[in-house]
Amino acid sequence: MNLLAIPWIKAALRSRLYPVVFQWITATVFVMVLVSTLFGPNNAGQNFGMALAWTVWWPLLPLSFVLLGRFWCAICPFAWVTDWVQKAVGVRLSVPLMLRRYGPWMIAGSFILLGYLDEAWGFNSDTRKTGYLLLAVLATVIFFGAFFERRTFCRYVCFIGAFAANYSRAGTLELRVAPDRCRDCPTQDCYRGTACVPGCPVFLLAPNVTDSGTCELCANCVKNCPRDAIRISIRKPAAELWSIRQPHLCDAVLAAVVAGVVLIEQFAMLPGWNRLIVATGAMLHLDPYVSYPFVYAALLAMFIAAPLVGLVLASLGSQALGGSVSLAELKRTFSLSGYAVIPLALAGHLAHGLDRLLTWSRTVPFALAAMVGWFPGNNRAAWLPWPAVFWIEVAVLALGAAVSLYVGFRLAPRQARCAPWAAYAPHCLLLLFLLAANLYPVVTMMRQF
Amino acid sequence: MFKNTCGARRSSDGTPILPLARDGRALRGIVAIGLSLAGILAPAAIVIAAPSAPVRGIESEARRGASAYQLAAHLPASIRKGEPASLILHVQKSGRPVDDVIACLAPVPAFASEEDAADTTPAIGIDLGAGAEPASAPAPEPGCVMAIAAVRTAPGVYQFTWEPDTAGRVNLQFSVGDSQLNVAVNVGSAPPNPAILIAFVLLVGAILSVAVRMRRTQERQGGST
Repeated sequence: MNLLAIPWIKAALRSRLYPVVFQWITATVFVMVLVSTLFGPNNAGQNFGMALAWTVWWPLLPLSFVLLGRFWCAICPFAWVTDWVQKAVGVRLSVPLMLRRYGPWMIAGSFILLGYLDEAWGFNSDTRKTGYLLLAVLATVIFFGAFFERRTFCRYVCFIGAFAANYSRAGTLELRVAPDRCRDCPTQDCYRGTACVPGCPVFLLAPNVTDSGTCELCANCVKNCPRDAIRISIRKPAAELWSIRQPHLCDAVLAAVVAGVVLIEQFAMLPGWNRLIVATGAMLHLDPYVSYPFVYAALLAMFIAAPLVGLVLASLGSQALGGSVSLAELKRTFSLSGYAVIPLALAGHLAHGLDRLLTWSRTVPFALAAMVGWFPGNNRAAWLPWPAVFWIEVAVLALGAAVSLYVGFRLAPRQARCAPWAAYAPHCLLLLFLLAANLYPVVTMMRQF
Repeated sequence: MFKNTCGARRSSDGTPILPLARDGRALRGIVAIGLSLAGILAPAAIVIAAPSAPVRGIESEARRGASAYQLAAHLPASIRKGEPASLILHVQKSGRPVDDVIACLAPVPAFASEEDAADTTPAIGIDLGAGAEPASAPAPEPGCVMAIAAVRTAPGVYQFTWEPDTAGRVNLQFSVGDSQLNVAVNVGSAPPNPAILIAFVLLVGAILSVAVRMRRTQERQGGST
């Protein structure tokens, strides 16, 4: 179903107010969050910026990518800052080759760094540190906006890209073109832009868009296309994952990395976490509390390595069952089967976020009231009782696992030169293991209550 | 079919020559960015420029019966999380300082929010949370409820120094014999590190000024060809 066939949606997307209106709103909220985290109460539960950023925005982000593709990226305040800095002082240098080549790995690195800072240095519980983090990201955004063309930061550097691309691929919205209309297009305005509207901010030529991992749905191409060739359609969720034309190694690695980072964040909330820290510290001959950042770094590496190693082993298993193992084939199988991990990683991320959203986000209106000096009583009550949150989390994980298993089943015939069931079996085991690993912290937390 | 009516001017390779923000527009942009940064950082200037906390007297003396003690406390107007604060307590009986009957005064912190109460983070000073007290806190004298021990500084004058590690409202309760004094203290938040804020402003300023210079060079070269 092409949404641009609906007149009001088409008019809205072609309006000059889209996405500017949304950008103004998010930029205003961003300034409030920044001021609140830098100058507001140290108490995270009473700080509006902390409550909004970590209990509403962060948990809702994966959901927005599934439902709306990378729409968030179109209205992100950092994209707005990039555009303004570029208009004012932009030098518009070409993107360095190194960034184009290794951008996805930098994104993976920055996402791991964020996960590390969150837990090891308490960035998500310390208001000032969250403020400093926002300042650091803001300075980086200004740097890229000032020197490089278009939204280089969004495309090649932003840590959100670690999961935004993969989740959008699993999502329900896609932007494509009608190929017959793009044939022999002399202007390529979708990429180059016009005097009125800039070209694609993330360096895409619309006819070349074959997956939803990069497009930000900013609608510049909709406004620029002289042939009305752009289509924005609602599609079957996750269909893109099993029909991916060019599997990329970095996408598979990112899926496993996100799964690992989400897992460790869930385990860190368990009562047995301290025992794990002490045991790891003893293994490394470190005082677990004095050297907590180092001990946590070791644990993070293990949690990230587990899904990655699992994926390598499953791919090796597929190859072995097919009768031959080669590095090139292994890389291809690994890349392809990584797409099957995405729905489960997404489900784990969503379940972890729902925990925050459905319980702690109740603090947001109270923190907002506290900003103006009004303290209306208890702000700790959850939106839903714990058992309800638990069952929602379990349902999300079960759905994610089912979709992952189905994607794996559809990808199996492309994975190895053997019977599809043989290629599928090792990956099926891996997915079930990941499901169990995601369920363990949820069930443990529930038993506590 | 939609016709593009923008009429872009194009360079030799077909790329439209987009209107660059020059002169006035660039200046407006820089001013806008500058104002935004100023808006964000102005509270910092206020916080940094604020005078150090003056001493405020709490004159709510507690009297109970003829033999009651009179207690009066002096504490800073603002106490911040992580910064040591000193509270002076004057103890008198029948208008005369008393310093020989009190072996220990017992301040009892209460909490403004559940989050404060649940905070068990060890810190340098007194942990106001529900968890175990940190080893570095001063050891309580026998009979003290909490670990803030008094130091006698003059006849009838006792000084309590502590370092709150949570923000919020804290109620200190002193009791001497049958007399009690409750002192509500607002523990404010620690300000952001000014060095980080200054570094941010300098960094952004450097980025923007280098970009402006490069942009001007580009425009000069473009104009001369």
